[in-house]
Amino acid sequence: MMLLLAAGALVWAASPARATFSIAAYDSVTQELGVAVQSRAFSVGTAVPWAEAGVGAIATQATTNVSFGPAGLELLRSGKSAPEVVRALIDADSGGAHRQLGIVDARGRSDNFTGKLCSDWAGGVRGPGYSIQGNILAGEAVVKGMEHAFLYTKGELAERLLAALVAGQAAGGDRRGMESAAIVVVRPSEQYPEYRTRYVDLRVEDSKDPINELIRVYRLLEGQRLAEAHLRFAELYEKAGKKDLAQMERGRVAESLGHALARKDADASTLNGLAWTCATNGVNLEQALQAAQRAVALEPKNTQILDTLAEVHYRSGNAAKAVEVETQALSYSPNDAYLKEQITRFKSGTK
Amino acid sequence: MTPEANSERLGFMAPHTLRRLAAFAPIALIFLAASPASGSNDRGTFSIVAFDSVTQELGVAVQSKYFSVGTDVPWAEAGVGAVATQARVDPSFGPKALALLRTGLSASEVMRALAATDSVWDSRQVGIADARGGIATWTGSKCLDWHGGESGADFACQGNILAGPAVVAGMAKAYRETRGEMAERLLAALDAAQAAGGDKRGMQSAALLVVRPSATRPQFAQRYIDLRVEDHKTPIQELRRLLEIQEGFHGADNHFTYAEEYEAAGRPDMASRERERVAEILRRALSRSERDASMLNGLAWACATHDLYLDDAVKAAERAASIEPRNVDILDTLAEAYFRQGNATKAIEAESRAATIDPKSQYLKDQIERFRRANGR
Repeated sequence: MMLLLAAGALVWAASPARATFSIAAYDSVTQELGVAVQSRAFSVGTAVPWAEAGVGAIATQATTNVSFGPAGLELLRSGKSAPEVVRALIDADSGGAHRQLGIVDARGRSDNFTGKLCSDWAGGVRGPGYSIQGNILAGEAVVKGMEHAFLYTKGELAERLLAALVAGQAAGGDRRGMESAAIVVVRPSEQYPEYRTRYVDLRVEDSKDPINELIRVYRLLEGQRLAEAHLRFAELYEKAGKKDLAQMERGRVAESLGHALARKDADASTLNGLAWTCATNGVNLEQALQAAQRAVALEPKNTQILDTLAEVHYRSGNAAKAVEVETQALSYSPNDAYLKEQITRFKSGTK
Repeated sequence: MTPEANSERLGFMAPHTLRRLAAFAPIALIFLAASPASGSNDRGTFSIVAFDSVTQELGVAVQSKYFSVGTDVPWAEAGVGAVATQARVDPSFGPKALALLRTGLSASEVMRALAATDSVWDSRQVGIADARGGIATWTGSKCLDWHGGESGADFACQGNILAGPAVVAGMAKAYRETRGEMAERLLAALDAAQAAGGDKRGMQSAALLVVRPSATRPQFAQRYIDLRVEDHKTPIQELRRLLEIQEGFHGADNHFTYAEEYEAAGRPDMASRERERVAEILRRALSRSERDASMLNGLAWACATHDLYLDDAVKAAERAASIEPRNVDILDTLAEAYFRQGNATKAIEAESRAATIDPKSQYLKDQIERFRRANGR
């Protein structure tokens, strides 16, 4: 009796903070797979989300059996579908009644499971290419709100996953409050094998406002590495003769720029990164100019940012303005050989 | 000078400019060709990779003046190896090196293989530890000053755009001299590097990744300790704060798991070593003016339910309860710890307080009943 109670206590009190909501999803166009999650638990990103390009995306939660992550990916790798893997994992687990699990495979098949002993409200929704689940929630409206946001948000998978988290929280979210959040998106690529396990991979381990913090760091990523990744994929799609997809990838950078310009609090680093990325690739130059100007307004004496603005002017065909801005940059850093070279380059009209 | 070199001086802007070169190689090559004497486009970073032959842990710790360094630099897999790829970073070295290590190549063989297929090897910095104790570190001559590395018997430290050689030397010394588990030693190395001046440009992100083989928890092969600080003014301090929470939440439980695995494998010496780690965590937590009640609660619960270190477990639970006196979970832990300590009366008293706060809970009633029965005996 005492042993039994002790075991019960372990479940109840040792993992009291596993209140969590998550979404696992697949984008059939880009082949991205991803998971976004928010929880009252510390460092939810270590336990809940698991994903591998070409394989699947898994969220394991409630009284979490973390081994469902690697074990589930292994089963998916062997060719089993998402529903088969959910069944296999739960059937083999004596604690199944306490588990919650959502899986999407690399063909978009999805399934989820909520053990009958998960704490109220617990449950999930799913459809082609997505699975949404949560426990200790304010109510069913949380997962419904997440579903609506995911289905009606446009743009790349990471944006849609984040929109789902925001909607989940807006619908009351986790009734114990918030502590951590994570997003992982993976994407197949032969040239960039790191994307197979980490395309977007961001964590907020312990924060009072984890979803907003996750979005803040995602915006930093968007302005830096993601913009670059889109242009890498655009190039790969061009080479493969898929012009429409190349166009879509470049469009993503324009979207990022649009998002940054629409935000009053966009930081100089993000604006500058996007402006530079667009300028040096000769895309979205008008928006790039706005972004560079905003970045300069935020940090008027930052020679790096002034250099970006000059580059945008130059790429837009305005060499005179480029020289003027770069000369101003040089006045803040008179010995800078690079800035001098840039001015020479702008004057000579070479790329 | 390249735009990338320009960015280095300006510190905070480096992240995206570094990537300029990676993303737009043709443009970057023009710059490089035009100014061969210019600096490279390294991102300033210091890291350590290590292998612990006793626990079979492999780990990486890293700090950088770069956003979300944990996405690019550290890679590790239990039984395989640990990799740090930095300076002019090619993140694909991570998965590539692990794949090569998996085929049985040693750390130095993998390093040679990476070098053989890379056109800008002079600008790279890589550290590798394999799962058989092999160590390799490489610093290309075109990494920005100060750059360099130092390898020990079971670890390698490396960094670029550092304040000076003392940074890497300090890391090595700290790793060698710090006792305890790998995560602590890795973090001590980061602290020492920062104390010696660290990254010339400053700080932005940090990460700690330790992997460990486990018979019962396959996830530890990829994530035993896996903490990230993506964008922070003092990322190493923040990483330490997170590790302290992690120790309470998962560390004690993890060590008990390994203790059971070692017992089952007929290694009682290793099992007691694991339990001793929990005692260390408890001592550390109690010696700090700990304000994180849930961390103390997790630690106290793990010890109480394993009937170990009950005096310290009671202290931890009491402190947690003094921070959050109306938290039912914490009061239950306190009651459980008293009960396991043999003090059923205090257990009933604490659990009754919890039951007053949450009168509907059947679990709390069952607990009180359980304590009473034992008390009446």
